[in-house]
Amino acid sequence: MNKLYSASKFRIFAIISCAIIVIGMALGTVFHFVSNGFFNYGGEYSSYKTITVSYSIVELNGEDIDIEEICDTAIAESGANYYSKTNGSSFSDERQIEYRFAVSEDSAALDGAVTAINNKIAEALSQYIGGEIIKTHAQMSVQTGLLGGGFTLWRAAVALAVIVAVQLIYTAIRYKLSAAIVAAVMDLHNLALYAALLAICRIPVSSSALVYGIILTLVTVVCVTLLLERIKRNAKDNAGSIQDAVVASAGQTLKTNVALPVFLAVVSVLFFVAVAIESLSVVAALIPMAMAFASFAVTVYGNVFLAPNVYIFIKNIGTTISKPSSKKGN
Amino acid sequence: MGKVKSVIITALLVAAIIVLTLFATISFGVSGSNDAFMINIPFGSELAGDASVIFYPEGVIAEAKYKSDTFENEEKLKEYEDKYSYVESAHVYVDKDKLTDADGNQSDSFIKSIKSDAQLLSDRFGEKGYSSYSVTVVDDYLIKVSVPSGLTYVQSQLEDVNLRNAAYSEVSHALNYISVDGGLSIRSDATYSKNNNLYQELDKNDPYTFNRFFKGASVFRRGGTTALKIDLTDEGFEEINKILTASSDGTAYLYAGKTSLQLTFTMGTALTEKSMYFQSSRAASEDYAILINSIAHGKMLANELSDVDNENIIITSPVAGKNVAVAVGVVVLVIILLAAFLPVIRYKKLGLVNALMVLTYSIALLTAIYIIGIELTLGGLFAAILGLALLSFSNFFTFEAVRRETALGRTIEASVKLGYKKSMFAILDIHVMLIIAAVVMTLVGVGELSACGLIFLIGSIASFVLYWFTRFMWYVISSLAHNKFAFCGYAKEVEDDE
Repeated sequence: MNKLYSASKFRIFAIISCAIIVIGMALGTVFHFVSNGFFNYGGEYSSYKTITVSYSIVELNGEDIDIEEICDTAIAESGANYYSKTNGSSFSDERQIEYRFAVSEDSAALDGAVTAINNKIAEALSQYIGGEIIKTHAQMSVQTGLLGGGFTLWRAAVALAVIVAVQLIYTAIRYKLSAAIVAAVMDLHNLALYAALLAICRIPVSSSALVYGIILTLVTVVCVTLLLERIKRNAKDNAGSIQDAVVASAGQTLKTNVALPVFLAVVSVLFFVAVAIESLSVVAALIPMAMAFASFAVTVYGNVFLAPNVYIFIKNIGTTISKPSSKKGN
Repeated sequence: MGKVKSVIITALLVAAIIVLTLFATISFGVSGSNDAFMINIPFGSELAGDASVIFYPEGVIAEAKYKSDTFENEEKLKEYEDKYSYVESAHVYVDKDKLTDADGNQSDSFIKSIKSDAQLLSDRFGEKGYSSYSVTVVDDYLIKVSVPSGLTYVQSQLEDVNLRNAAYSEVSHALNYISVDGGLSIRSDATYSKNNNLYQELDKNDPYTFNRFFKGASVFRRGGTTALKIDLTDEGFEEINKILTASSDGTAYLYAGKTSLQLTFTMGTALTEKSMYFQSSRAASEDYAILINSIAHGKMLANELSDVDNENIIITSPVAGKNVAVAVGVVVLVIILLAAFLPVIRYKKLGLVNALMVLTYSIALLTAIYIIGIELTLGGLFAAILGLALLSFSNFFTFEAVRRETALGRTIEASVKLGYKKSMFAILDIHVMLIIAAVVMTLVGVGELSACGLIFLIGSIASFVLYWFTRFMWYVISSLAHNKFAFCGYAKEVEDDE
């Protein structure tokens, strides 16, 4: 444990973090030019293409025609990949299935799928007496989004900034300015690292990404506060060096720093398995789980490895600065 | 504490938890009861699905409507062929004169206006505080608005069309009225006509003179009564009083554009203050307030949009399937039970004290969410579990601090006192900071973030209160135990006999 925390180890962890953040920013910027966004925005915040199939209840001669299966087959044969599918109905009981595709999906393939859907449904209906009176209609459209999402993201960023500022002030009052700087640095570091991981892995950013960003900050607040309180107590109780106090505190808070994110990661897995279980969609579970793991991995790395080293580093700067003045006093 | 007292307090607490849990989960057929409350919590779109509607600007008609209007009607077909041209990419017919340029393409001014209208609708629906919503421009001609259907679990399972329509009344009202366009006016009839406007002295330079009489609108709540409060300017107070006292009988109606807002005045009765109150439900009052504030501040739609007919509203099932709420509910229950009973392995009967607190937290949070009417989403559930993690962490942190004291040879009483004393400031600091963060999330965040912040705020406060209640219950329940070290799962230090 002792070997992990020193001024030289701080440099190594700082270099690792900076490298990941810089790579994330660089890739995000490159993707911004070639792929329409620093992040890979999810369906909520970006434009998308849809195939909408409208139909009335299909029950002929006591048999159901499975319109959804026909549409699924036609879309699969066209080679297009949808990322979400919803079933809907109007108040008059007209049914609707909406398939959502990434905006980069080939329009010609989607038009082909629409034609195939219309033909296959017509063919299926033609086998039944009265089938011609059932109206079905499939069409492709492009939906331009990012109208509500931009505002939400902006307000979330403001909320995060205020939380960091509040922690800085509160920690400065309750502990010391150096402790407050550690808290603020860790909040910003963890958020930047999380954003960089999202940019590097191109995980689609939706409102879930915001929720995990906030949770990451809250967990960081808990872990860093606990570390600072332990350091303060250990420094008071034992007359050793600051480094000894930090090492002892890091050891005492290790369980919490690991257990809390791991518990939340397990909760995330359970949640998203529950979400994916009915739709049998692996993607529906994988994307939020990837976000959750990025968030909790950053929390563990930042709070276990970096936070104690940042504290030692800042204390060392303080000592270096205060040394000449103490000599003057002598 | 005496054993009898200890038993009574513990039994009362356990009974309260059991009774509240039963009320929360089982439906009692008691007259006047509102079914089980737990299943009456409104869900966000991830758990209950969306309600969406497509708006057609004036001059744009759907292909289906074009075909039904012209079906076996040669005269109408000729009229439509002269007036409209077909846009294949959007499957709509558009007015050639109004919306296309000389080359037959979509005019630049129309493209700009449709985007600005979509932005304005986005702003208006954003003020409604939905956990999620989206406003999109469809194929450059139409505007699609999707908001959470806001159904409870029971409502989302309704198959009957009439029952479902009743459940959708709130979302239908919002889609209908927040998207209304046009200036405000007072009219003499419930049906719109050009000639029934009661205020004729329009400023020639301002076609929406009447709008400037309104300062703003808000939802007014007192003692269980909800009303829409509209504040008037000095000029508005004078002018509207003139209109209302011009005739001694009849009813006047407040309009936005061509739509009556279902807000009425009794003619012959003058206003006594510069605020008007109209009794209506909270949701309806919110819708009217958003609309009136937008119009009064000059933010009006550039295009006249199609009316929202209930038949046009599409209700979608959750993306993850119709039964996703049940699956997530089971997971939450498993997490609560694990958080409650897993610690028993390490802390023995002290773990049961923690279990009581976890169950109390869960019931308290559920009740708060129901009473406040917070729309529950996956993020919100996660915030609730984060609060549960905070409570468990606070308790375990202190239990371990007490264990360290017992390891030094102290009695349980002394160890509890010292353990709580030593961990108090860390727990206090963490809770204070998290409560401030939750307040910031609630007030600064919008949509789901704000709802998560509110749930986490309640969770953090409950966690801190229950942290101290744990100490009390520890004292109460451990009074029954002969061996207090065994009660807590701590090893007793053996004293050397000299």
